Amino acid sequence: MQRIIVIIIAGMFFLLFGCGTDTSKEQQAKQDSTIDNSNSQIDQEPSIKAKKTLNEHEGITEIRSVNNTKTLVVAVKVNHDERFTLKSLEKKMTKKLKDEFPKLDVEFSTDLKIFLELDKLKKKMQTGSLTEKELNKELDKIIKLSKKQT
Amino acid sequence: MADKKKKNLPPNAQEYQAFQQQREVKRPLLKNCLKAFFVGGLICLIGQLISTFYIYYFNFTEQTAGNPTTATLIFLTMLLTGFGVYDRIGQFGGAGSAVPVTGFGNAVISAAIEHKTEGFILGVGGNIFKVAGPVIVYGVFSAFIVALIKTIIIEWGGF
Repeated sequence: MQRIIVIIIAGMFFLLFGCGTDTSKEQQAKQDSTIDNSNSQIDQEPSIKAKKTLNEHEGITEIRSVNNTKTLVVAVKVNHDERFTLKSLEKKMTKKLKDEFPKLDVEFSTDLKIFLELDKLKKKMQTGSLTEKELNKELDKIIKLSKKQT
Repeated sequence: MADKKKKNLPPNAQEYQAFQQQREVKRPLLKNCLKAFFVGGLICLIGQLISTFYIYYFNFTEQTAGNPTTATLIFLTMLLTGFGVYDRIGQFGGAGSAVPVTGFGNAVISAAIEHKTEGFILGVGGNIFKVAGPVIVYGVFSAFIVALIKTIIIEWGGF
């Protein structure tokens, strides 16, 4: 019986420590994501603007966004407790971005894979080795991936 | 046993039942629950790791990584059941090892092993889904009912 009590108390400690979030790190990550130093030939103004808009939302911790002349693809990482309301967040943010960029096709995703792919693309753009044609191709691939269903 | 039935029993049988209840070893309910919780949690943690592995190294999204993850977990359980390891995990973790999808793999393979002596067609083939069959039947059936309710609510409810 005593052992069980010890296990329960230890478990509670784990839970309590788990709940305290490190906000300073979060802020740092958010600020990092607003800095954009891509050497791309394609104007990334909409991406930077989208980042600034999404930064205002508290639940979003990291943002990656890339655009070409026709589409804007945004992927975000969210706080873990926000995952319960992921669908409504996606809906809200897509609408917000669509209102802000009526001329562009907006793809908003909270999927980790899309985030990783955009991160890779962003790094490629920063090295300046990507042509416009290649960027369009990569973005098409990412959009196709995000629309894949099980 | 229900109380109504107990009252109808002859007095010496009632006496025996009271005696038996006194002597019975009590089940460690809380301990069992905790064991199941942690074993089940551990299996889910492994599943999450496999899912993340598929997302990082293969062309799967969070949406599509579910299928290969399930398949991998079932495959691993089948191997573990064959080697006799999963039985021990099941003995320790109880429902914690049966409720995740790994329990399904275990149910299939353990039935196959049990009936191997009866031959491959009527033994293994006829009994492999003895335990897992109801899971498939009621899984599909309840999914159908839920889908029906959802369709009715969305189509006619106007949501």
